[in-house]
Amino acid sequence: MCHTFGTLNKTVLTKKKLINVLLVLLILGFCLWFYAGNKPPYPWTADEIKIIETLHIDSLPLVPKDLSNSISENPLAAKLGHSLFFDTRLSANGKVSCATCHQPDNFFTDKKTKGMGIGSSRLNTRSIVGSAYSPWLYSNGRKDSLWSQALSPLEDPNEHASNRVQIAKLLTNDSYYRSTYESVFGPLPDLSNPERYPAKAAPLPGKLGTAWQSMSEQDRELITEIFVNTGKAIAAYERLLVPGPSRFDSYVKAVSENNLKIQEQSFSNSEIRGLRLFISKASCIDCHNGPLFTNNEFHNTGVISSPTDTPDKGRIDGIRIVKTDIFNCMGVYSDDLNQNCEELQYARYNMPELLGAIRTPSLRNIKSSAPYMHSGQIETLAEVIEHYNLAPLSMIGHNEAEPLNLSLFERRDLLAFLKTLEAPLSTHQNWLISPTTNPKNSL
Amino acid sequence: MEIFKAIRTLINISLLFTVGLVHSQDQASITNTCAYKLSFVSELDPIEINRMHSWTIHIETLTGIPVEGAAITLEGGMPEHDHGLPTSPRMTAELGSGDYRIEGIRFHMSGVWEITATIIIDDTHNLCVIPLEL
Ligand code: HEC
Ligand code: HEC
Repeated sequence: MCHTFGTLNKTVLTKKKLINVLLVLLILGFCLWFYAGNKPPYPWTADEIKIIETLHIDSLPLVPKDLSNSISENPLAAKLGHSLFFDTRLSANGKVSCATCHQPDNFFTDKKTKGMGIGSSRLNTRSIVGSAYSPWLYSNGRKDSLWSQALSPLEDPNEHASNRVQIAKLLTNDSYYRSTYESVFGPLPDLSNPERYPAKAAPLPGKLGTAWQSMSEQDRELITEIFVNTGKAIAAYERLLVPGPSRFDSYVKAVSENNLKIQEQSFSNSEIRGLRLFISKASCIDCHNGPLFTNNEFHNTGVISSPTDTPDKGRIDGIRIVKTDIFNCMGVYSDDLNQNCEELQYARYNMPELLGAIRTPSLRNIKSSAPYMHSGQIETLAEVIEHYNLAPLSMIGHNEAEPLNLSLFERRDLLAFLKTLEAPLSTHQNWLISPTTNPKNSL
Repeated sequence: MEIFKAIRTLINISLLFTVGLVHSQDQASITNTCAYKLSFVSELDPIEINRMHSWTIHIETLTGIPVEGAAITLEGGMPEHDHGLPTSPRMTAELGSGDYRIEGIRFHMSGVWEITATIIIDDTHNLCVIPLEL
């Protein structure tokens, strides 16, 4: 009996000791974590200041001209585009507009893994903020202008599932659309004859295609012209969506002006260290460069596909598609009469490094635009950093990035920095809500 | 391992050296191992990343005579990264006096670039390397 008692006591004692030791370790660990977070970083070198200034929002130039869209800077066209962007009548079931997936409150994304319209989009919804700066649209760059891009969701059976005849008819029947369109583009034809213009038709497979084929070539041309102009008006609106100054930008300005007080107010030590990692050891700035934190180029970063998807071939597909797109910059619907189209003319194609290469996304407002990557494969920013830290082999093509060997502390700092890029758009609030001019939307 | 490191450092130093050379002469004269002397003037000066621009390349013989009737192709990439140029630049005009216009050039990252100009004259190919640091 007594003997048993003794051993029992002993076990209790060692357990207690163990708990004490663990407790001390925990407190020490916490202190270290806290200390590492607040340890003052080194001051910036002149070279580093030059680099971080290239990321400042003030180095963002004016939105570049789109020579393929002659009305891209026409304010009335932007107003028309604004209404069209929010108008659910541009869909098969009257419930889907561009703003269904590109929600102004979520920086023109939708918080979903994949876009949801009439059906499910193939990929994660990309933001439109700052897209006007990119020579290519979509993650594989299969479009070379905003106007040409806008035509694609309208007739995509999983997105708006509408068709160009229905859209042309809406523009001619709605009095606001009709008058605005005519002021911008000139007179609209009479589309009321159902013999010549069926209710729904488009150059697509199935019924829509049969109806399209029944139309004369001249009428098809007339409709496509209106459809293209719809895209050009939407593009004029999208050009207005540009990011605004974030806490990061206040910090950089304070660094440039050597204002220590504002530096301290705007950035924590951890965020400063995170920024340093971003431009040095973690080399994020290689691709996420310039004031939009993107070079808008194509890179294979070894993001693993979702189990249900086949790996995305990325740019190798994108460039093939855009080269033969009738709505590209060299096509008959482009307003670039000199056919300058530098981007298309000098684009690379058929190169192995384009396999699985995805267009670098902007990191402005990145905290609010989860989930991440082209098909929403990664849920959180911490996991994105983990992905770069490991740099796994690509499922397709070759991952350009190398493992980073960032410590737990460094990963925390980098994450803290990425969260400093939040800011309201610099676009006027009126453009970010549905316009009331459209009776359907004001209901 | 140590030897490996040493070789890498050596390469880095020599790269730095050639890059320094280009910089100090205002990106005009270029060291090369080819049979010609090359220099270029960029339309965008200083060169910025993410902006499409053109170059005028000047070719002369080692004794300083301008070379005419050449065809030039440009390729390139970043030796420290796993990728080439983001565009396919092309020669679009021979301007005379050994000058050639190359359009469609863009760089999409800062760092060390290496551009290889292939100069074709009478079926002979010369590979001339243009180092560049952005
Ligand atoms: C059902 C959801 C959905 C609807 C509706 C939708 N989009 Fe998108 N949008 C997406 C998805 C998904 C992507 C990314 C696809 C990709 O990268 O291939 C995208 C990408 C874009 C891009 C490219 C951004 C960039 O920088 O690459 C633009 C611009 C855009 N959409 C504009 C529009 C416009 C204009 C409309 C309305 C005419 C519209 N979208 C309707 C889901 C949608
Ligand atoms: C080699 C170029 C490259 C480098 C280096 C790079 N990125 Fe990226 N980044 C990309 C590309 C390309 C994507 C899109 C990949 C995809 O969708 O499959 C991306 C996507 C992201 C996203 C998700 C964006 C979104 O909207 O879905 C985040 C966040 C991100 N990167 C952060 C970082 C950080 C932090 C670093 C440094 C540790 C870094 N990146 C380094 C090219 C790069």
